Amino acid sequence: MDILEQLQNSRVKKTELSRGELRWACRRGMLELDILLGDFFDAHYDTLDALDQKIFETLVAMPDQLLYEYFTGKSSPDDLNIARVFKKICNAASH
Amino acid sequence: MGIKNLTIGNRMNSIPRRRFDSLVIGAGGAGLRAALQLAREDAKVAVVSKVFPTRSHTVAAQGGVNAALANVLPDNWHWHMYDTIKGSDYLADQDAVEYMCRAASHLVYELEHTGVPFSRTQEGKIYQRPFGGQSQDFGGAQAARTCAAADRTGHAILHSLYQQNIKSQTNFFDEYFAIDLLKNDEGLVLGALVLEIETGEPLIIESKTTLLATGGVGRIFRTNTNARINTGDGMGMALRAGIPLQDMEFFQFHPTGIAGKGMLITEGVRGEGGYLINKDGERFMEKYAPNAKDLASRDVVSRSIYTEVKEGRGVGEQGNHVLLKLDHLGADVIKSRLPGIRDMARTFANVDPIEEAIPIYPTAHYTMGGIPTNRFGQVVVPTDKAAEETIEGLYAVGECACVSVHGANRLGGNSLLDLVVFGRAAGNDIIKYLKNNRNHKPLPAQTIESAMHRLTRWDKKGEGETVESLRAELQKEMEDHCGVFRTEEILSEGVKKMEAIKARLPDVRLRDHSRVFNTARIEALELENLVDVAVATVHSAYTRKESRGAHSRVDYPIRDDKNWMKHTLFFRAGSRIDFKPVRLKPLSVESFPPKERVY
Ligand SMILES: Cc1cc2nc3c(=O)[nH]c(=O)nc-3n(C[C@H](O)[C@H](O)[C@H](O)COP(=O)(O)OP(=O)(O)OC[C@H]3O[C@@H](n4cnc5c(N)ncnc54)[C@H](O)[C@@H]3O)c2cc1C
Repeated sequence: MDILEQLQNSRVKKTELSRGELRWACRRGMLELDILLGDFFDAHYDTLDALDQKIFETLVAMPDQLLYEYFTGKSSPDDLNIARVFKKICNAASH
Repeated sequence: MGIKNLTIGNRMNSIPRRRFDSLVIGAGGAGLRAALQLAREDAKVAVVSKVFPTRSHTVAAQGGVNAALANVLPDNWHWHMYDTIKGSDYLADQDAVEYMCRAASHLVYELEHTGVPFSRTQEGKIYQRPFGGQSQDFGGAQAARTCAAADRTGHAILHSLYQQNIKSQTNFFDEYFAIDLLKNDEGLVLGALVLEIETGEPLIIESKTTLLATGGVGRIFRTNTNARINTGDGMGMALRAGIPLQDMEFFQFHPTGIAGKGMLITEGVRGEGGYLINKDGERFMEKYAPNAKDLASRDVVSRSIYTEVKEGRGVGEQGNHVLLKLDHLGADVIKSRLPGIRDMARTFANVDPIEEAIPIYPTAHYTMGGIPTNRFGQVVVPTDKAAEETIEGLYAVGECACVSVHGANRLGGNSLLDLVVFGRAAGNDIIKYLKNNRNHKPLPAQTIESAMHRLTRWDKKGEGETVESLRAELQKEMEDHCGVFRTEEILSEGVKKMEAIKARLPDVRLRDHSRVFNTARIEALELENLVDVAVATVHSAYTRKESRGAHSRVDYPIRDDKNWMKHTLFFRAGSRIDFKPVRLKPLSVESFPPKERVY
């Protein structure tokens, strides 16, 4: 699992992200991810507990292609917490 | 900093400045390929991008990039040229198309050498897939011309270009939003005013050349396949700088997008036996296309969906979509052959296609029109003396530009090619320009002030419409009045509606006036661009009284080469329309004369 490595390579690696920064980081290169992340952020981010908010930040820092593969089931996150929050995001989109 | 409280003179001087040889606005495939060419020649380059570069929309291109490598089936660049011109419905400039198709193989091999992990044939050559509109021997058997890196070609190209730019020491301004071009009195472009999104502070980037590579503008339509960043900012900047937009009436639609969301459900689903139904469960395509039915051409299917909805046979509370039925295929077929579609439908439409039909509406996909350029990427405008004169120092490449290789209709796989071919060509031309223009020219305060006005205008407080509501209205009106069903009546109504929306823009107010990462302010600036580009699009569509490529007029169903074999130019001042001839003369081969486009 190279999530840590990806985090290190990524732009969004600061520990504390402002709300605006996080919202902007939900602007992606693909419509599917815009809807998954952006709409989830607007509707549900504030209701997450601190741990899940942190995990959401981790997810947002990942490359588009990887997130898209998670979404289409081509690969899945090794980290169980990440997998859990990602599932939450997909479920939220379908309601 | 209280920019607002300073006097005008001080204010302009107090804005920080950076100087570069060349400024590139946009870090998708087009911007990065141009920047790389410049950085390799040791030019001092700045690349500005509103999102982190590898989140540019190029990442979404999964299909691949065209080049006549002949790795899978016989092929050559001349056949590719023929297909591109025929696909464009003869509106493409044939010199630019020849240049692109000849350069394609070299550029794809270059991508291979710089690390794009193309899929391989059994002999280890770059794998190529067949795409629609590709033929051998000038309209003969199907060709296989699209070079693919699995289903992540755009991603692979973008990442490779980004890494090479880092290596070549390109200066990146990530999460900076370009507001407007800066010009002197002679019309020379001298850089741009940009906004650092993180701090909300403006920055002047002075440059000897400026290249716009800001991508397409799918967001002018409610249902579209584009990422939310595709708001046509570079096109808006060009319009405000007095530059026209070319051929904006040509917007590629796909008939089957998920209603209300926009993402594509591929034709493959109908190929497997899926079909469209209206609220009465009627398989309506049987009426409109008795033979091909649901597999009729894209524009026919799109217009049929529109008609069903318009005539009250749409599905849902608002009757605003139709359904794509798959359940009769059975769970096994859906699970084994269409797993991606099932995921997509379950997540974004909340239906499992094994049990329920998918809500569908035509979705806007690709912007053929844009900022007019020649094949060197130089922006060209008509003057009293000539149909095309260059604007010194200004370039445009990629989906925001109109070079024009796609004409009235783009072929799949030709857009990624356009980015790398003309990105490199523009880079080369800029290098030449820089050799003859070594000094920065003085920047008048006036141009900075008017660019700053765009920003400070959003500091106004008080009651007013919201950005979200005006944007939603714009997108809905564009979909209804400038979408897949176009007539004189509908379009003239559309022109009125869009001009009225434009007139309301000054009354829009922000609620949040904070500086740091104020994304609402960015969305307001994007809205201004959407409005300008939507107005350009509807005026151009209203003007063109024929059907050609993606522009199909129900009241003028035939292509009219005698009167309309010309490019449309829309100018923002007075919403004026002009035209210029299509370049029918290629560089070295015979011209392809217009023929009826049958497949
Ligand atoms: C779903 C989908 C699939 C596709 N598949 C294919 C395919 O298989 N093959 C193919 O050839 N084409 C395909 N296309 C088309 C192709 O992806 C695009 O035409 C192409 O990627 C556009 O690249 P670009 O470099 O012009 O712009 P983009 O990649 O859109 O980049 C635009 C850049 O401009 C920046 N920018 C925009 N506005 C501003 C501003 N105001 N300030 C600062 N920066 C700004 C953005 O941050 C971004 O970096 C597809 C399109 C879609 C929607």
